[in-house]
Formats: sequence, C-alpha cells, structure tokens
Amino acid sequence: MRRPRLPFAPELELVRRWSALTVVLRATLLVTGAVAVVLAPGGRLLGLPGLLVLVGALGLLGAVTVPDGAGPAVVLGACAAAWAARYGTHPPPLPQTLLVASALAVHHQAAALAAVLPPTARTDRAVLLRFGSHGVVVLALSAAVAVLALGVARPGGSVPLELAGLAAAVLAAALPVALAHAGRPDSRPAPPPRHQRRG
Amino acid sequence: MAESNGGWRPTPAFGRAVGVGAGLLLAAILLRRADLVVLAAPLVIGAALALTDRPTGRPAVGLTVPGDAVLEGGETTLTATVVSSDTLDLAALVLTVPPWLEPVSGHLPPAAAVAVPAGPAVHVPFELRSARWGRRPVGPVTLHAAAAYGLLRWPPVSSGTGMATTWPLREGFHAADIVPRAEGLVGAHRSRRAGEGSDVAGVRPFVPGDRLRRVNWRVTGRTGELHVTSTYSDRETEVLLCLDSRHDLGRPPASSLDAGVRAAAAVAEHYLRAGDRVALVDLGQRYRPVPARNGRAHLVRILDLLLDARPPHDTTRGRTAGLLSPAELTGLAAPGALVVLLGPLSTPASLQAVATLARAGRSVVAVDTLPAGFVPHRRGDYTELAFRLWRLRRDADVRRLGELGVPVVPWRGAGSLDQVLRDVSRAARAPRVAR
Repeated sequence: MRRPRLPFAPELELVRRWSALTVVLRATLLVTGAVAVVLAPGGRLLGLPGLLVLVGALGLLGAVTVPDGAGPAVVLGACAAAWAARYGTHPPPLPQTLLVASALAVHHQAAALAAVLPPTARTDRAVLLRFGSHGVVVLALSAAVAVLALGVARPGGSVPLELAGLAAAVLAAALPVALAHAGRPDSRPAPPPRHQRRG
Repeated sequence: MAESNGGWRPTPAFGRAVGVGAGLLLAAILLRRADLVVLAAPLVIGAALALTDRPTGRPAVGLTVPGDAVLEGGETTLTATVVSSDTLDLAALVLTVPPWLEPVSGHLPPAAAVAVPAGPAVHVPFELRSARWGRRPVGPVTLHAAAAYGLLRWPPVSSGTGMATTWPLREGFHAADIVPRAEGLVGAHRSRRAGEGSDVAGVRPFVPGDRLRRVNWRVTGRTGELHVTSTYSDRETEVLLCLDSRHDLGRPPASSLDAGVRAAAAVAEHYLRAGDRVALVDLGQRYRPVPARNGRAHLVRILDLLLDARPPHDTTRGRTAGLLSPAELTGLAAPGALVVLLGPLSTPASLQAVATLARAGRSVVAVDTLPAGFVPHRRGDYTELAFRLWRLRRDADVRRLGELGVPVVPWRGAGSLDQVLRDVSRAARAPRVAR
C-alpha cells in the first residue's frame, strides 16, 4: 500500500538535513525580523505603515527560506520605511529605537552569514568567532554613533548644515562601494598544483 | 588544484547594507530624524569595516582521494585543500559524492565551512562510509569563498575528481576441505591418489621405497611383517567462478548481483588461501575472463573484475552480445575444474550454460543468488501473474538442472556449499560408463 505523499515533502526533507548552525541562523532571522516587523509600525496596521509591514512580513518569509535573495533587503527596507512613516518628523522613544536598530542589524548580519553557508555544512569554530567578533565591533561602534547622534540637540533649519549632512551621507554610502570596487587586478601567481590522488 | 577566473563580486548583503544604509541616512537628514542614523549606523559601519580588509587574490581548491580500496561498510577520508593569498572569512566546501558513498556524520551533500588564513593551505577532511562495492568517481569539491564578512564572494571553484574503490565484503566463506577432483602436484586438498599427505588411506605391507617413519609398528608387531600407513596425497584444484551479471534482481545493496559478487569474492578468497587456482568469468563481459592463477595478488585481480560487474544497459542486446557461447565457456574450464555459477538463474541462457558444462563432464555447482522474498516492482495488472509464471518456469528449470547432476544451492554465507560440494565430490568419484 502506497503512503500518501505529503505536500512540500522534498522541501521538508531538505530542512531535515540542515545543520544546527543553519537552524539557529534561520531562527535568528525569523525572530529579529519579526521583532522589527512588529515594532516598526507600532500597532498602526492601517495606512502606509500597515502596507509596509505586510511587505516586510512577506520579505521575512523570503529571508528565512532564501537568505541569499532579496528577502532580508525587503525586511530592512520595509521596516525602516514603516518606522520613518510612523513617527514622521517627531522623535521616537529611545528604547524602541535601539531595539529596532539592533534587530535590523542582527537580521542583516545573520542573513549575510546564512547566505554563504551551505545548509548541511559542519562549521569551524573560527568562522563563528570571526563573524561574531565582527558583529560585536560593529554594534559597539554603532552604539557610539548612536550616542553622538541622539545626544546632539536637533539642528535648526540651517541650509548649509543640511547640505553638509547630505554630502556626509553620500560619502558614507559611497565609501563601501568604492572599497568594494577598488580591488587590484587579479594578477597574483596561482598556487602550485597538487596531486589529485594519493597512492 | 583547480582555480577559477573571475573576481570578488558584491553579494546581496552588500547591496542591502549600502542601499538601505544610504536611504536611511538621506531620510535622516531630510526628516531631521537622528534615530534613522542609529538604524543606518550598523549597516554602513559594518560594510565599511568589512571592506577595509577586502581580498584581491584568487582562491584555489584541490581534492585528494586515497588510492587504497576499502571494504563495504568501511570508512575513508577524502581531503580537500584550500589555498588563498588573502584571508577568507568563510570557505564553504561542498563535496559531490556518488550513490552508496555517504558522510559518516551529517547529511548529504557533505559540506564544511572553514576560515582560511592568507598563505598556508587548509586541509579539510571528509569522512565517508562506503555502503556498496564498486568503483565510483568521487568529487569534485566545490569551493564557495566569501570575504568581507559575507559582502563579497568569489564564483564557485571546482576541483578535479578522484576514484573511490570499494571491495565487496567477503562473508567469511568456509567450505569443508572437499573438492571433486584434486589435480596438480601439490596443494591442500585430499586427492584420490595415494602419496605424501596427512589423510590416512589405510595400512599395507611394506615395499621397498617406503619411508621408515611411515612404518605402523603396532600392526607390524601384531603380524610379524613390516606394515606402513599409507596416506592420500594432497593436491590442488582449479575453481572456475562464473558470475551471471546480466540481470540484477532485487534492490541494492541486497540484490542478486550484490549477493553474487560477494559470494564470488568469498569463494575466490577461500580457495586462493588454500593454494588453489581460481578463474573468473563474468557472463556479462565477454572479453575479460580472468585465467586460473593462485596467490594473493590474483585475488586483487579477481576483485578488480568484480568491481566492473553490472548488468548491460540494453538488456535485449545484452542477452546475446555479452554471453559467452557454451563451447567457449566449456573451453575455459579445465577438465577437472570445479565450476561454481553464481547468479539468479533467471534466464534460459544462464541455465543453458550450466547444463552444457554439466554435460561436458565438469563438476558444476549453481549458487542461486536470487534474494529471498524477491518481489518485482508492480508495473501493471499482470505483474503478479507474470511473476508467478516466471517462478514456476524457473523452479522447473532448476529441477531439470538437478536431474543433470547440478546441485542448486541458495547463497547463505559461510558453509553454503559444504553439503553440495560433498555430493559433487561423491558423484565425481563414482564409476562412470564410457560411451
């Protein structure tokens, strides 16, 4: 007697093979994404924030299933937009700001690692240490920036200051792009060939 | 060591960090919201920090496959080697493995993720267990290199492949020291001829030439005349193994071909250890009979041929193209050889070969390798009926072989052939009528 075939059986079989680290990373993506999606609109599910949250929830599904796709970017973009739309030009409360920022940062880091990690791979401890230490450094520097940004009083409507800010923002965004494309031509000698078979 | 042309390319994480980060910074200025800078800071700072140590060199990967064969169920370790002139935050290695080769721990496909420092090679072991005999290509191992904490990646690089060899598990076959016709000059089996040996043939009067140590003093003292203890001489024999690989019935790793290959390996090892000469013919491969030789090295040669045993893809053509004619098969078996046919006895062609050998006066034993409880895949309403008819015809053919003096015995490992070898040996020693 043939057993009935479950829907999504091949996909479930693949999920069953995931390593523990992959499961932890996907769970982290789900939790941090859910925190951001819930906190960003602050209960305002009607109007633009609600629409953005819906998009963010769909992106969260994509992020958990395919971290190498556009899902994490959709989560980050939708939540940031919902957060901005919710408060307009008013300053939001500090604890929620830090919570959303942390959730988005961890979501981004976890997605970056999950995207390059094969689901069945056994992972060396050194990899976790490298990514973990990088995340801690980034969060520490970001905390310093947050203290500076939130500690400084709101600037007035100074046009030169806004222009300087815009230039700083463009520079901050352009710096990683410039670094990424500033690699030298790949002209290093190849490593020596090795035997493929050991007798 | 395989390399790849390409370059370090931004990942979606890079686009996410730059795009969302820049958008948040612009919105922060336009909306005069400092909190949006807090949201953007981890993305932008993380990207800038990661890219300060960006790589430029190309990574390379190689695969080392042990040349030694393993037994079924044995484990082997393949080693992937990664070399990079820059630090790789994550080098993900995915190994392509053939069927019946599976990781000792973890799931398929075998994969590992390591960090690679700049310069020295990093060796990553993959422990695999072989579940079935055979010779299979293993690899390549594919390197997915990532740097800048997942913001940059190199296109996949694949290594070369290797060959993993798994010998069939010999099931500890032990047969009673009986062969139908021991021939040759020396060996370990008792022959019908009197001579120097260990098995007592009887006591007879002393004749000139007998050795003094053979004198039976008890009989001599009782009779008053010199008597000696006579023995049978120890001789070797020749065993021809015929493996019928044209049909593989049942499911691997317990199919008829699996049982046949394991049985052939076990029987060959047993007789080679006893100093006999063993030949092998794969009825599915016309031009590769292994001639009768003895010695440990010959076992390797036999196992080497067994590794290539597989049913032909085109079974219609395989029934005739891969088949040795009965005359050719009879010519391969020496007159006094013990012929052991191993197969599922599923076709008239294999039964015809056995019958021809028996009629030519060879001592033949047929080992039935059809799995117990074999049931074919259901392909239609008449599958069960056709299978029952096939079983009835096969049973009738096997009975007909018995009438020709060919015992048919199912393969059950150690001691499978003891009784039939005893019967065959007795039949070979019986007087025959010359026609």
